[in-house]
Amino acid sequence: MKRTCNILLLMFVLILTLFLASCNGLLDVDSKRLVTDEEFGHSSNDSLYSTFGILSQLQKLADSYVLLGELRGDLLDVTDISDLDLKEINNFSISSDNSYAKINDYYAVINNCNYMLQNLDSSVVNNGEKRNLSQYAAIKSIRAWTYMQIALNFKTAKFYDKAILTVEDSKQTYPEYTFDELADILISDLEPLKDVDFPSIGYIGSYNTSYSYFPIRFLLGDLYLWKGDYLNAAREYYELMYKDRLTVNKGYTSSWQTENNTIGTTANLNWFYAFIGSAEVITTITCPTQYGQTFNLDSLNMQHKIVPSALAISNWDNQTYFLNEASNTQGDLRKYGSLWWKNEVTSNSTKTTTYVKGDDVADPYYIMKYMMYSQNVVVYRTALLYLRYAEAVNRLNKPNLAYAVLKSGLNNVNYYDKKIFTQSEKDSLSNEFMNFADTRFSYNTGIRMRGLGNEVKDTTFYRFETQATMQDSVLYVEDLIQKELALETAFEGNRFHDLMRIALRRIKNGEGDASYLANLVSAKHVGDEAAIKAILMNTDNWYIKK
Amino acid sequence: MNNKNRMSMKKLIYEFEMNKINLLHMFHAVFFILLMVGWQEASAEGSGNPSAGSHTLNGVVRDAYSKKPLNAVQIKTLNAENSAVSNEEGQFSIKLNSAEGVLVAVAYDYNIRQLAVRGNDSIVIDLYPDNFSNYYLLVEGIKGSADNLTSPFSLKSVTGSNQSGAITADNIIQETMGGDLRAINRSGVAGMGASLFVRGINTLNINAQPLFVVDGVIWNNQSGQTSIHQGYIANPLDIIDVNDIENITLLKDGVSIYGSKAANGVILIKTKRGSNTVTKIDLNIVTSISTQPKSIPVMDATQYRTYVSELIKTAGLSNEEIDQLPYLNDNQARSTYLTYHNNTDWSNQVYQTGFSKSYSINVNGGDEKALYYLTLGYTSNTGVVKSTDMERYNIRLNADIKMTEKAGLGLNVGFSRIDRNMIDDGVNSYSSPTWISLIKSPLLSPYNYTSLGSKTSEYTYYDIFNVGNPGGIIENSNNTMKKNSFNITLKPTYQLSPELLISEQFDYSINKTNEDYYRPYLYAAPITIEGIGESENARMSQVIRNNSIFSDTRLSYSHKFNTFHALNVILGSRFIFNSLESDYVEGHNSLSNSSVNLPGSFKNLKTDGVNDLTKSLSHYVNVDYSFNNKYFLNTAMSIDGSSRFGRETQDGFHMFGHSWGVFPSINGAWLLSSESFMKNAKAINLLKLRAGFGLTGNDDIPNYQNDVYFTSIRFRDVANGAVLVNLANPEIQWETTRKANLGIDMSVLNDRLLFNVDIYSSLTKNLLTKRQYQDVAGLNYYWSNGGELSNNGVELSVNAKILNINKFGWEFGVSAGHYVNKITSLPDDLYNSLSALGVNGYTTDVYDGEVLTAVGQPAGVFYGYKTQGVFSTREEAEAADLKIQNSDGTYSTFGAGDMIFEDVADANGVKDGIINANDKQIIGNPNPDLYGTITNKFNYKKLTLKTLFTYSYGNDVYNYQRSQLEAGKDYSNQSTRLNNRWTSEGQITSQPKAVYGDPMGNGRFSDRWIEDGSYIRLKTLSLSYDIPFSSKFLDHLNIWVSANNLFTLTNYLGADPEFSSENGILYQGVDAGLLAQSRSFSFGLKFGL
Repeated sequence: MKRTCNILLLMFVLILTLFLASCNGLLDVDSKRLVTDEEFGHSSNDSLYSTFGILSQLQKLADSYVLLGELRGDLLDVTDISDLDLKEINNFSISSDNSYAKINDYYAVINNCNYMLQNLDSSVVNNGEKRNLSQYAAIKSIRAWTYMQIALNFKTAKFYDKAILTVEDSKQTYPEYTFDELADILISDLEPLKDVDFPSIGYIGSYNTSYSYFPIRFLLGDLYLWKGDYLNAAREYYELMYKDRLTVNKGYTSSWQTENNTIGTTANLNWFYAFIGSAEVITTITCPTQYGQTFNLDSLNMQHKIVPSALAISNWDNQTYFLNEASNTQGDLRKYGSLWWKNEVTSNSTKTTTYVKGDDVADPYYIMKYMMYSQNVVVYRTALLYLRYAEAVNRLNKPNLAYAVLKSGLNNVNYYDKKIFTQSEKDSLSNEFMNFADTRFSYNTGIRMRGLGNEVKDTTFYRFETQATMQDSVLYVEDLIQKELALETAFEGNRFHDLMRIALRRIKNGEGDASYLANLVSAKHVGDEAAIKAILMNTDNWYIKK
Repeated sequence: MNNKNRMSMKKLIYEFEMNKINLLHMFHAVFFILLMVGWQEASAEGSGNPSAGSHTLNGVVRDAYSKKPLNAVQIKTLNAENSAVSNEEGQFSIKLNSAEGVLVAVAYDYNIRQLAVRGNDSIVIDLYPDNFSNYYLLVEGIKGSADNLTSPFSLKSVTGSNQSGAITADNIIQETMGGDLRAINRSGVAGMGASLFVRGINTLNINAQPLFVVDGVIWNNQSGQTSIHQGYIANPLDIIDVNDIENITLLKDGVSIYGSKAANGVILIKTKRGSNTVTKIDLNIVTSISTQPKSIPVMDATQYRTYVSELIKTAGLSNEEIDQLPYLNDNQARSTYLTYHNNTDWSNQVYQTGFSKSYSINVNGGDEKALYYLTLGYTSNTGVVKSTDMERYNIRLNADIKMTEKAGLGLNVGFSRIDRNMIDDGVNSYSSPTWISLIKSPLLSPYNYTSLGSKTSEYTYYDIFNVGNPGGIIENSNNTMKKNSFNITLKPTYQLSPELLISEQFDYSINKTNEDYYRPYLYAAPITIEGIGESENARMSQVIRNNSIFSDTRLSYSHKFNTFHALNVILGSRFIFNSLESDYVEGHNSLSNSSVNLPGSFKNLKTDGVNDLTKSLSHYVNVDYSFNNKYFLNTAMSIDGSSRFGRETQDGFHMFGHSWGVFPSINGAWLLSSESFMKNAKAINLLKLRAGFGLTGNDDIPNYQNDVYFTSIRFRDVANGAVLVNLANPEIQWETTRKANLGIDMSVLNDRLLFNVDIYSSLTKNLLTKRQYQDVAGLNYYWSNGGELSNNGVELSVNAKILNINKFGWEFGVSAGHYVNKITSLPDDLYNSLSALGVNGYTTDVYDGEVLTAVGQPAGVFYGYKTQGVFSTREEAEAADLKIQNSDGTYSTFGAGDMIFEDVADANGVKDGIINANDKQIIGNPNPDLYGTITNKFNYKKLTLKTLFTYSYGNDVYNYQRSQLEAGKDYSNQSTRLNNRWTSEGQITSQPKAVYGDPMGNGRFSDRWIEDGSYIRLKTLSLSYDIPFSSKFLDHLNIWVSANNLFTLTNYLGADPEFSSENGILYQGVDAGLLAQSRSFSFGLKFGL
């Protein structure tokens, strides 16, 4: 009996000791549904999942990108029925709970990017070859764009490049940079990657994933442009045009049909095909609305909670369509790709939409661009690239070259036209960013030509005469670029920041003050100009209070 | 509690914390010392018998009423060391070891009575018939059954009995423990059980229900399990047949042996076991019927037509358009005339008489080697809502096998299956027939008319107002739930020595719930769902599997020293593994009531699920010591680890890469009535003082919080993406509840009057709260510990044997509980903090209302607007000039017929004239001031009449149901109270005008919807008769009838003041319109063979 006792006791002690000793594993659990840090992020499949995860987070910024960029500008307006959130943006009184100004959403993209970059980093080293470099570059581009958005909208951005994975990490203080400080970091971050090709995942359903990335040269160009490093900006924009064969294609021209060399009553509308799935689309944020993901732009547009401003409409109406001196008419045909109204008479054939001149005095208009987007927000496209290029080269004292972007087009024929590419602007550096002799640029046309007829012949209505000083010429052309941005890229989300960039540049150069932006934007607020101008005269109010 | 006490508690905690690092080592040391002691004891064969009694006591036993002596009464000491039997004159003589012991008298047909000797040489013991309820019971405790008298705990123990048609243990708990815990029946659906709150509210955001320990096994209480059927709450106790329950014990104290699981109290349930080698067979038969429950009265066709034609004018329709509306056009020639000119009482489509029946047969018996209890049970219920029903089958075998002299094996096997047909319940305008029957226009007909104008039996489709047909929904829905539960327990024991017992309890259980849901096409109105659009019909399916392994290894040591000292020590280690897997799928728009296969027929498929593993490990020690049956001391401690705890918690200690919480407790009792100095206090029969203090915890924190994890999202239909959704929080830990208790049990007047009073004070620290992330995290909130809440309260029960005359007895009992709950601190970085409004707290949206969690307030208070009536005239409204800001930023002014909301002055005393979030105030508190039961028991010979009243006093209710029926903002039918709505200038009324869409927010969450939920209800009235029987086949026969919910006294305007729509603390006191409890009548027969 005693023996049994002893044995049993021994067993008991043994069991208990086992229990205690194996505590470590005994309390560890894992889940088949949730993926933890240890299990995730190290295989190439995982990086694909991460990429889609990041794109789904990026979607949260799509509405904000457009609404913050346009409602604060002069082209998009609210109506009486608009929600308070929209009115707040419009009036520069954005409250902390405004659903379109949630800084969290931006950092969600950053943190998911950081996590993926961290893991790709380690796998690059592990394999001894740069197998994942393309993915690495793609994610860096998304992160850089997002960081730019934070700094542009909120004045400063907290910078971190290690993923925040614990609550403790999230409570740390991270350095806070202004746009210029951040730009230096982002530039050195992106420079080594600018020649890396993005991954080709192909199509998901009808969606081409190659639109999901922000070309690094475009980002670098933007960063340099904001910083005032125009030479590098011009180089990066040009390199992107050259390498990716990006042109402002005359194929997307909207034009009035002519009879006997006069303007008829029917127009062929092609311009808006440039921003749906064309070679001119560079980057879009895709915004599916299933599985709990939201995208409001479509419904805000259809409910008339966002409408084009009177200013935006008059911008087009005040242009002159030029067929020849004898036959011209008021109005830019790009209006009919930017706007739509219920009484519009159009008919579609396979490639062309035909519009018959009629009564277009309909209030309010819908924004055609948003209807064309079909759950994709276009962030970058070639016309914007050429306009940014123009902005950069203009500041390199090449106003004629910049003007050519607008009017004649940078193609291989015009390249040899001394009136367009003036000899004085061709210098030792010009080969680096102004060589359009290559046939890849043969389809390039002036941006205005796609909506305003035979612009290149027009010497009456749209002209640039060299001003007294180079500075005056530059400022003159810069204004033309600014106006062209309104005609070409209205409602696309870049308006406010474009105005802000030009205004800040002029303040910095002593060429002007905050009124440059304040006057343009307050003109939209009919009856309330003075109050809005007063707000905008303080450049701090160009940013959202955190 | 006074300051001094608090100080000493603090000191205790402090010292405790200082030492906790060493505790595990100490634990090991103690463990081995005890092992050694045990070994020694085991080695020393047979210690000497206790010396014969030193004190001789003579006494007499009598019937308490007739004072006639009782023969053959067994008299023994509390530990049964000595015993005697009374003679024909009722006299006995017993030798006692101590002159301060307690005598126990046991006699057939009489209650057990225990009486202190107090150094007397002679004693008179009066016995009461066993028709009276008895305090002197064996109660189930941590270490098995023990005498109630000797327990140092604040507890309540009841033996299971069913004379009310109760289906689940919750019903019995409510009926018998009214003041000891707050039990609120969830709804009128059979077997849904009750929400149970022990001693106030000990948490804010996690499980607040007590721990269920069934036959020694800790059950997963499934509190977080969500059903796809609206209004249904999983009840873990529904798988036990009430006839199988031997007793239920509620432990209210800080019983630290259950450590991090015991903060909400512990309920021990013991099922019946074989007790005797004589085979006994019991047969129970119960049948019940239930009537249609009450509901809020709604308008008839005439009233509704007036209402709707008034409302429609505010919807911006022209008179011509209004005239063309089929329900307002009285041209009998129109084809739609018959369809829209009825006066239908829709409740007829929904309700029926409910019917229940229950059979159970159990066999109890065995032999020298083994005792067993075997039961088979069947319960069925036809609900008062058409098409709903429930069926339960259960089998249980409990056996105790004596393998050798020293080795034993306990075996429990249980299986139960519950099948339900259900239908959505509560406020839901699309799929809840009970709700739709209230809001559906009475102008419509349930059935189609032929073109010739005769009524068919075809149900009509959803109507012009987008409201479904409740009859059609009931007929075409297919909503089921099947729940299968199986568990097996093995409990080997080995008696190492007379003092030392080693045991292992191993339990494996599987719970599987299959749910199916179908919302029919055309009979139910389409729902607009974001991302899907119109959902014309839908199917959902869910499977939940819950597997648990429970293991509890114990070494028990009990020893008696020097006659007076008794020591019992338990050392144990407990491990629980739980695996919860749920898989959910839904689909929409098959557009046919015959294509109901999820894949193939339905579109917009969506899947979801969880796969949560939880492990917890606990090492515990429990020491019971008593001296001379007068002084009782229990100390316990457990050291708990859990997979849910972070690795770097603030409290506890860290070892083996995990954090461990330490939970000590001490409870003591002094049986004052046994002291010699009480010799002359003849009036006092029992006086016991109890005091307890302990730490317990709540480990129901979300899983996987200490890990970083990603979740999968769908991207553009076909691709999957992973998104970072949780950051690691290695500091996350249990909530800690410190409990202190003082209690008195006192019996006077020859045990005619018994009082139990308990005063308690508890403080919960480390409350789990939602915190705001810094912006860089890119996420919104995380769970973290912080904040404190306190509960102070008192529990009282009085039980009086008012009459005990010849064959007639009247017993009266009242119990009452009272608590004050207060949140004493909250962290600063709360998610959704209201600090901008000067409130240290946050609100939670609950059924279109708001519940405030704020420092200085109790948990769960309602936070909304106060109203001051309705503007009767335009002048009045203009003078007040109150406005709201619309969503587009413009302002609208309240006019005549609108509600007057109180404009609260800001810190500078300025009223801004704008009704907005700044004007919200606390408008109600769902916590009662008093709750409990009142019981009466009359018996005459073998006939017993019992009444049970339950009551709750001083609790506020948010009548969500009424807020939807009196909003006056859409074409749904409304409560008749809305007949008094404001319609003309100068009218003075409490109901505002009806305006389509309610642009001014007259129906917003305000004190209009807060009501006093106090009630007293005759819960049970029962009459039973023990038929004196003596036959070869029949041992006894009991026949009973009972009525439930016969009447309720309340001012509450809703259907039923007792409901609990969800388990969460913040949902208490919100009437979400679940099926009201109705009257039911039961008839039962109990045969003993």
